[in-house]
Amino acid sequence: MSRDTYQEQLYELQEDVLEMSDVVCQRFRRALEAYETGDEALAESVIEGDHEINQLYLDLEGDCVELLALQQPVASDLRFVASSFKIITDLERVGDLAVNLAAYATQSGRERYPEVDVVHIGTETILLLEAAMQAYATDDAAATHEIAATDDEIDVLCERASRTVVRELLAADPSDEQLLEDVSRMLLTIRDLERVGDHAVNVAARTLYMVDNDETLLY
Amino acid sequence: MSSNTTNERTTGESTSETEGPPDDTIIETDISVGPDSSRTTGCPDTIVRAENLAVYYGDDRALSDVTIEIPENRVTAMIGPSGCGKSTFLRSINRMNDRIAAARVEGDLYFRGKNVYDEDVDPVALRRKIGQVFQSPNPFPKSIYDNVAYGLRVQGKADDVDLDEAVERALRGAALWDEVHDQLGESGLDLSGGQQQRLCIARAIATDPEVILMDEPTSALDPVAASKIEDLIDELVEEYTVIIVTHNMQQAARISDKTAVFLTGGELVEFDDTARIFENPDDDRVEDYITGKFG
Amino acid sequence: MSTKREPGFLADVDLTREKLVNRLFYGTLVVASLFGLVMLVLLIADVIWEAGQALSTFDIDIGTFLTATSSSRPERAGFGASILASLWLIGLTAVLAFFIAVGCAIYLVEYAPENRTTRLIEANLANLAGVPSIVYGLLVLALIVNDAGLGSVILAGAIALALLIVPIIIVATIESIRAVPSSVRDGSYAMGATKWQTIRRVVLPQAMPGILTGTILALARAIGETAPLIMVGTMLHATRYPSGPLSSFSAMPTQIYNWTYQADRMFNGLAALGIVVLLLFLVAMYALAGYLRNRYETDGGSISNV
Repeated sequence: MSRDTYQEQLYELQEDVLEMSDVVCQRFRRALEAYETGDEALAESVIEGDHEINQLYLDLEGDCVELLALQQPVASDLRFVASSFKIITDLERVGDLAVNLAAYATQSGRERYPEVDVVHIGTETILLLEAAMQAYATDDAAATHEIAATDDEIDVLCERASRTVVRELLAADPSDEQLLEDVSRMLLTIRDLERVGDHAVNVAARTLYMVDNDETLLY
Repeated sequence: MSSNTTNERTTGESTSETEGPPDDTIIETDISVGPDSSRTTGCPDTIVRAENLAVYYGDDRALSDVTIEIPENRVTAMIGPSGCGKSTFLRSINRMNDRIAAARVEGDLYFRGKNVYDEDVDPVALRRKIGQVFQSPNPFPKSIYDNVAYGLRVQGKADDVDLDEAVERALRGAALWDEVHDQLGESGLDLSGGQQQRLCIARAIATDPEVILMDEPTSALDPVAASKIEDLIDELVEEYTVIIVTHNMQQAARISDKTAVFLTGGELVEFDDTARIFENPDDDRVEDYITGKFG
Repeated sequence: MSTKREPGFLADVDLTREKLVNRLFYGTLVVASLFGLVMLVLLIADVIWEAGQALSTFDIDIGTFLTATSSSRPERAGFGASILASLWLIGLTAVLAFFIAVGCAIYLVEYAPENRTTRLIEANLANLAGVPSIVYGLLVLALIVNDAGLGSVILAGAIALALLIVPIIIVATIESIRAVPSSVRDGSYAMGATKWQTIRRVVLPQAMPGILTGTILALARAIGETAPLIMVGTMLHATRYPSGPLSSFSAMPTQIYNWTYQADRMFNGLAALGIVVLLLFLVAMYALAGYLRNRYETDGGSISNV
């Protein structure tokens, strides 16, 4: 393959990773919408669509491996392929989290905790992921630090939400089975949202490594 | 209602994502990282086929029982340690082995369905359809123009074509025209190594062969010159079939569509798509060779 | 007794004996080379001195010398006819020898099968080159001059000389053809050229400088060969300009030879002058050969355009 085609391949890999992130973010937003409105059909579509995200992931993984085997990228090209490789893993996990969220959407207990604004937290986290992908697309190392900082805020939000829920649990009647179930589910939901933020930070960390060979965010 | 998703690995097509109502979402994605799109699709014909081909130099068996089908308009690479018969195989295709007195060929080799070792096949005629580029650039001690025109003159086509035009076309095809168009009368030997090799390529394609055999064409060149030749091969394969012997595995990985692995004793151990060979070869010996554990 | 170890890190390496041997050897080589050089210088000096003596003693006019024919009267004798005879000889010899020799060489290198017969032939070519030239003269005397009835004419002389130098040219040609790298031949064959096309368009053009140089050197030798010409039969005095290959003649070396044996001292003087002329011819031919060799020494240079 000529070096022109090789450059095209690198470019296409980046495009495809961004594609995948678009799909994943869209799914997540749909899941949030389903959660808010309780739309079963919408939730169904998100859950069904997961296999497609997994397929995208497998295809892109195969492309990265092939690129490494056949083109022997080095230096920044190598960091790019290695980072893209890791980032698609994070994206695929966010896809799984969207499925979880869609599942919770159709189950009970959503209205029980109006103080816990799942949609708000969820939107914040998905915005964070989109910002991280934007940094990846534009090689913006500076933005990556901000993303890490923002995630700290989201972690705080999530913790506060969890506290609220647990406080209610402690104050309630232990024999209330439904309450137990709802609380568990709500805690899991909050944890999933926090995870999305963590994945966004991973993406930012990989981007920083890719652009500046800087591993500080990779803890 | 279930959503409708199609996931195609389409090649060369642009991405489109239509957002309709939630229960009717179709996504097409273009994920085609890998060899140039036109060469990953399509089912090319076999242009050269060997069947139980064996070559002996006296009592030494240089090539044993090779059976292989080489596709048209693709780059087929042959790799393997020194002395494993890959060059011998290459030379069998255009019968340059005939020039070695001690060489003896058994088995069959077909070019476009015709056995090239049949009684009625004239090797000279065969070599007019199959060009060759050698490891060390070997331009004639003639002018650049005469080097490129040599094939046409020798094959008696010089009177039928506009020589100037044919020479220019060949030099352009070899990515050399821009560098030498104003010095066509100078000796071919005054060029740099990389340019000489491209001159030899121009010479080979001037007569419009169907297959171009390349025997380690870049091993005598510096990396920059070698890279130019690799780019050139990428262009050449659109019109010709390229069969290249190389001891540089990374080069084979970069440029070829299919790879044949020869190991000591002249044995063809594995022949498959290049991606398959370098990511997950079937034979352990190939794995060992590629990962550098021997040879 | 203890060996004293001197300071210095190469002190234990003793090269005095080797250095002495080195210097002795070098000195021997220098003497050997000088010997050849000195002899040559002496020879040339002697020739020029003799010629100079002859010019002044006998008051010979160079113009007349170069243009007049020889005669039994030394005052009227000149070298012109001999020069022309030699030129005729060289021309004919070149034509006869070149094509036969080059053709033979091409056959031996490119076409002959690699077997004992071929090797035998090649080995004996070198032997032929060492045969005393007088033998060729005898051969031509018997076959051409007598049996064929041609008589002692230039053509006979040319045949004798040609026989003499053909083996030399063959050997030089074989070497030049073999010097053409196989990579270039491979390149030609891979282009679908036939054997003859490859020879004509690639091998011969590249070997030609070597072939020409070898031929010129062989001719330079031939121009000075006396014995075969004497056998063939030359005139005592070249009294007429030769009109063609079938004229009788006396070429430069034989004329010099004949003049040397005359009683009249003036003839000896003329001989000295003749030697100078002959040497000049030789120098010219060697210069041409040297020029050709230099010109095509490197691989560069477009020699042919076919």
